[in-house]
Amino acid sequence: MGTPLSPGVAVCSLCGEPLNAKGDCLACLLRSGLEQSGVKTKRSALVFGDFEVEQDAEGQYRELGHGAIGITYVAADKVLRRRVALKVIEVPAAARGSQAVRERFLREARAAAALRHPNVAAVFQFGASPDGIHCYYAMELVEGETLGTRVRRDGPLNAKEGLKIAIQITRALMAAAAHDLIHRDLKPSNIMLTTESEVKVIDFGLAKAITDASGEMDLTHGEFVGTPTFASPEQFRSGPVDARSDIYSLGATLWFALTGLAPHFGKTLEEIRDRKTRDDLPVAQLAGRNVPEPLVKLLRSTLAIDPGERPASARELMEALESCRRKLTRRVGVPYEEPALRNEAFARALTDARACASDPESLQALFDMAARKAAAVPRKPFKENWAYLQTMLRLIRACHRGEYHQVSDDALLWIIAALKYLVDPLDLIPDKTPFLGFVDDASVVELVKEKTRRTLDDFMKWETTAR
Amino acid sequence: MLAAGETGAEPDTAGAALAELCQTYWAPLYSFVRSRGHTVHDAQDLTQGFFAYLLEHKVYARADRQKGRFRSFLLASIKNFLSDAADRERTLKRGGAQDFLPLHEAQVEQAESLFQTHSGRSNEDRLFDRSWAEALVAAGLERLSSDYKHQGREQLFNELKIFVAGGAEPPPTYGELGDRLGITESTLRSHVTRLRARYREALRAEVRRTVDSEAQVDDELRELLHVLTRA
Repeated sequence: MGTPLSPGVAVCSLCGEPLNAKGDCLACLLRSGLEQSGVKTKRSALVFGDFEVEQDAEGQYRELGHGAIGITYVAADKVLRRRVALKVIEVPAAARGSQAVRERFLREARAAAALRHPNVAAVFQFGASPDGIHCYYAMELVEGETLGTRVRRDGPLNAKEGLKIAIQITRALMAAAAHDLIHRDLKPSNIMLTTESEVKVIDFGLAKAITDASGEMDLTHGEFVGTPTFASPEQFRSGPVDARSDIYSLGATLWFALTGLAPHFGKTLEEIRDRKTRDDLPVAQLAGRNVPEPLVKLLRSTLAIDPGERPASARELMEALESCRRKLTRRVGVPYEEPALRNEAFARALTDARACASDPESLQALFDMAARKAAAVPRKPFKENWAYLQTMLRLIRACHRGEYHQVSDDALLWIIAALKYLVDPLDLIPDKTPFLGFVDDASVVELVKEKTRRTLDDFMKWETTAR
Repeated sequence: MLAAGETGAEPDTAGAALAELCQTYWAPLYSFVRSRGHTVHDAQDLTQGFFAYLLEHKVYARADRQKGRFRSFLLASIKNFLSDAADRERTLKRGGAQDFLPLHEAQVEQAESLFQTHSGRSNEDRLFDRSWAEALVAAGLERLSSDYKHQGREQLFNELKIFVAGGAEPPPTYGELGDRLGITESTLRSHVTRLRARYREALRAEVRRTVDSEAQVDDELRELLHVLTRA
């Protein structure tokens, strides 16, 4: 059947073909590539308490993910008849049968089950197999994808998206803090992004509670459990961790979201640990992605090696994130990375202006509103634009009263559009641009000025003469 | 024919992808050159020179997509290259293009060892195919091994590898191995199933880089298996 063998050539115990120099069977290895991806016959039911793991058309258990500490399946709740995400964890041998471990798991599980928050995937039920080998808990089945999947598919997020996600994760951490619960394994694959772009943090506390329970899971035993890339430096040491560990992991997750890379990585646990505790943060990665400075500063603080140098709590982190968001918004006036949206808004304003120009009542209403808002807005921060707006209002007033006629229909349209853009930002731009906040919106401002400069100059000359 | 050489790909990207493929499949080409009677050093120079020629002259871009596999394309190309005395002479004169594809000493030694093992028992085409199969499964296993290592589960991978790679000794029973690893039989079965599925995907991904379609992945694997097992 096979190739004639030289004396002494080892053969595969499974198929009788000769082994290669490494002792592997090439034929078996090639056949594996030709195998069907699964056994087509239906497999035996995998049941944990009230939950039965779903199988796909090929009879494979439907997995949502698997990590170092367990497998998450799609399962059916046979009692309540709903689909859930079922995490099944094999309890470490050292922890089986331990009353202390069981009590700790129950304590954590109750806390996790009590945690109800829009940004946390709810835990419905938990239990253990009769032999104590497996623990499991059923969670809300979140439709969507993980942050890790999103970034790997679409590339890094921009600062605004990253901040939005970080803020929602922090809300989840604040809710958890109220239950004395910490996550301990925050990472991109534990952040679900729903189809409505909401964040749901999954696996709160429970998974690590079980696996850490034997108390001897450290590097010296080669049994670090979880995802070292996103773990805090203190998680590599034995001993308790607190909420600041989650804050570090959130920082590493946000870093990944903004760059597509983890701040520290390596081939071994030791290498990752050493880099986390020794190396400077590779901030060049952030610069390469044009991450704004306030966000870089925030990442530096969340990723401080010493927990004492990080935000002390989720609440403190939230304040830092909100401050960061304010700085970014202020820095660029209107929503910072959405020039296209602003241009679109102005284009809409221009279209609206045509209708407005032909309807005296609408024009009067716009004029009144613009005058009212202009009067209410402090002059100083927007000095140049404020003066510009006042000139436009005077021009419209003069036109309206029939005192001034030297304005072309086209120029009038541009002026009306500029007014609409300025006074109706709430309607035009979903992000609620602050009134006159177009101070840095160079593209729109320059466009309007270019189109109206001569008209306004002529008008101001007329004003001078008329007086 | 191969993604790297597709007309839609950026030239640099295509070149880089091709260089990576050449790196992976250096040993089969080297074995082939050796089987033509060249000395160790000449064979190294000629193999390097061949890849340099391939990349510099973008020969892959002229390849007919319909002709299919990268393996067949390389085999035909190296035959042409070796039969062209001028090319051969030029390569040997300038000492090959040793720097074109970085080579590790271990890689060269492994290729030579592979050649020595099979040289007496196969003709040059079969020797090439066998070496190709070696390089292919090694790349698939390497992908998988890296994944497991990255997850800190290298030991698990080493323990379970026998279930896909076979070996002289029969695999342990699930019960025995489960006891040794401290996990239940059902968990172990689940690990093995997953390992098989992941290896299958890794191997097929590796083959996919060298063929045009998913159907050709199966054809390529069948053909290589046939080469290995035929009398």
